[in-house]
Amino acid sequence: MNSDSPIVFVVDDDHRVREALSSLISSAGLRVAVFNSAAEFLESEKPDAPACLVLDLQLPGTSGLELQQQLVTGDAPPIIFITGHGDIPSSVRAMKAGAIEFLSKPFGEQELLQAIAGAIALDRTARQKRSQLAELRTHYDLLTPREREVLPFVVAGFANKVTAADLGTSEITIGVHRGQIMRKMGARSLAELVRMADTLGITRIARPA
Amino acid sequence: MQRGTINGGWTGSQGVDGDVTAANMATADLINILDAVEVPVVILRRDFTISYFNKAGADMIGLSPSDIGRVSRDISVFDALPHLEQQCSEVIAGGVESRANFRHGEKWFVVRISPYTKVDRQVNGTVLTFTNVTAFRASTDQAIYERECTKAILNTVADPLVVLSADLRIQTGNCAFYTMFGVSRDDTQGVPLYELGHGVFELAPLREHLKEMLGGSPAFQPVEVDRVSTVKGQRTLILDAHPLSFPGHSERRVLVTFQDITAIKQAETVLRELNETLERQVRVRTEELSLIIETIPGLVWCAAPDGELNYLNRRILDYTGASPDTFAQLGWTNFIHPDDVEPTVGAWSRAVASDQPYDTQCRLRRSDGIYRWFQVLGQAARDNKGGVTRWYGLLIDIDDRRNMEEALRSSETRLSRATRTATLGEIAASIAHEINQPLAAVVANGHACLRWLSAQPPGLAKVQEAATRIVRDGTEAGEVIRRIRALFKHAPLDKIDLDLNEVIAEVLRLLSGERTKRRVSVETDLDKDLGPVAGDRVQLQQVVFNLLLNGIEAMDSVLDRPKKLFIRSKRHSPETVLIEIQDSGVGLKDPEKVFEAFFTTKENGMGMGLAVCRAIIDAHHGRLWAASGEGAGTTFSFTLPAAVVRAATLPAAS
Repeated sequence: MNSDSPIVFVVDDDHRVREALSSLISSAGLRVAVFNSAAEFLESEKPDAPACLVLDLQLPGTSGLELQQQLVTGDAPPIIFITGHGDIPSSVRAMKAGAIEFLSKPFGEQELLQAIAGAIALDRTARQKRSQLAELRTHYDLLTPREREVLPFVVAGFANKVTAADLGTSEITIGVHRGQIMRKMGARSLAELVRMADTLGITRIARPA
Repeated sequence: MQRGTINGGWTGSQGVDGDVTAANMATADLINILDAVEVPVVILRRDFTISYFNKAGADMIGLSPSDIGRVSRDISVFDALPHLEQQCSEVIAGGVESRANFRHGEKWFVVRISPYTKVDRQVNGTVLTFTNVTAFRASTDQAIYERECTKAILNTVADPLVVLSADLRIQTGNCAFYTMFGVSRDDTQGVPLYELGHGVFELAPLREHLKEMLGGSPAFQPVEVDRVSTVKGQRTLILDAHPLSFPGHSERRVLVTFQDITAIKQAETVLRELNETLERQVRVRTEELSLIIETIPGLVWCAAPDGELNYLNRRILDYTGASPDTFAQLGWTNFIHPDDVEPTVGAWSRAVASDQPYDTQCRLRRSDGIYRWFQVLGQAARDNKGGVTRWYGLLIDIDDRRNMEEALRSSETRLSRATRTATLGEIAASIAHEINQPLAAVVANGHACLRWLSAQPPGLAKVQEAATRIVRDGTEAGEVIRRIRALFKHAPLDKIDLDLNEVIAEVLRLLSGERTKRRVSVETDLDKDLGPVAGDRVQLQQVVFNLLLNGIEAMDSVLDRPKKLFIRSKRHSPETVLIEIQDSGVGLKDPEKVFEAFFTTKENGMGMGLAVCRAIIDAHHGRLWAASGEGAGTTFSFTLPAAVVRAATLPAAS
């Protein structure tokens, strides 16, 4: 297993459950890290890999739901809740707050492993998106303010002539800006540039003002 | 004799005409006339020698007959007329009268120097007539003195004063006036008042008032003039005017006084601002308070000492949907549930009559006609002497709480019935609580086992580990189930003769970690001669364990005193032994409640522990109870029948 292979974090205060889950999850070929409490989990060093969190609802100190609230950042792994005596209100709260799954103990192997697989896939996609976005941002940061002004026109499909008229400059200048934008953003085609702009959340110009 | 002398004095003038007798007669007449006049008359010749003086001349200015023929400058009387010779020469030359002031002793005279004209109109001397002006002179001196005094007084007056002519031109002012405007007497003499201070006094009301006053109006309405440029900067002045008139003079004058009220004005401004600030603060405070009262999540009312309502906050009006007028018309009792009117009115009347706080509950009709329960609180506000000035009241909606309380009461009834019969539901919940964890572990381990077995190559070491855990956890779960079943299915107890002191010691060993961790000290007072009880070791261990752990945990919140757990065992009666476990925790509100199933004060508790304990003790024909003084810790006690009944210790026969 290399350093970026997926990892499952298990937080449960019952050593019997930790041991069993650790064994079960590693039998599925996944890395496991177990923690006794929310605090122990928060303090731990986490590898830079797709991950998911199997979290007991009833924990001494910070409860599972409280930990979930603390982790509401884009980078936290998806959460699968497990509980000894789950009640409907907590499960609703957990799911509303973005949990992937809510499993009542004892639960079957398939339920858990499928939920883990789903969660890891989700995290992998999210991580890719984050890194793509980060890369796009680096490219976008290279653009001059004028080029950033021109970009919405280009991705909206306006001819250089129209853009030039609208921005009060010459067609040739717009052509130069366009070339620079394509080069700096690393876009091979207009279609690719449009996708990049969408990812970055750049609003296309609806029609020339 | 004097007459003779005088006659002698006239020799030079004799022979004015030829008829001597007639002439002598005329001369005698003249001399008589002149001597009768109380005005000294002296005649000087061209060479300033005295040729004649009358009787008054001798009487009043002290000339003597020997002075006749002497030159005036040789006579000491005339020293007071230093320019006499020159004046006389001029009179003789010009024929025009001249005057001079003359002082003799205390007397003052005005001397008229007239030409002495002969019959041929030749002027060959002068006639000096001395008019006594002493009295007049004294009155003038007095007037001057008076005037100077007045001037001095006026100049020491701090307020500027100025006298204006009837056409309102400045005549004269006092020092303060000139100082204030930084002008001199000469600068302002005859200058119209309205030109003073860059025309600042050019004001319609002032003009009108002055005009009225000059027209004879007795009173002058003082006029305030703002921003007058003075040497002390911009000042605010009050102008007052008084007419001045002098008897015998037709001319009217005006005395104008200026009162500098700048400091007063500034003080007034400061006071006004202070006042405004205070008013604003009071307003803000009042607004805040009224906002608080309007937003407080309760219905607030206010009543006069006699109980008459005089204020209702917005929430009351919103809740009842009534206007203050409606309240006044219908009366507040109209909004109370008919069944509650009598007790509520009764309580209120009693409160008002006795000035005691008012606390009652009643149903209040909402705007939609639904009645909700409210707690009604009233408190009297008192003055210094303790008299009631006002009643303040609060209505708190307790409908939900009351409903919940009622629901709880019925569920309590149900539960207390249930705890006695140990329902299936309770057992199930207890089982779930105790065995879900090991069961989950067993299932997960089982799956892991299978997965490791089916791996290529099979992870046999892992399989073994997982299988071992399955056995361990499964056994544990089974033990729990067995115990619970034994308890609730009334299975025969595995009774042996048991030393409870030993059980306590065992449990204390088990809990030693917990005791250290939570800093609880344990004190025991165990009766060596306790004797055995017939009981199930596991179950009684469970009870002692539960009670000790409970005691330890009950002291978690204790910070201000040592956490002490006291355990005592003793013979309670010939047939029973007693165990007491006393903690120094916060105590229990209702010691009996803790034995009910699902009652718990712990965050993660199921509320089964003590219920189970009681069931175990009950099954052993013993008794378990708790006693608690609020805030003074709790003592859990249980009795069990002794295995060996002792002979009662009889009192010694007397």
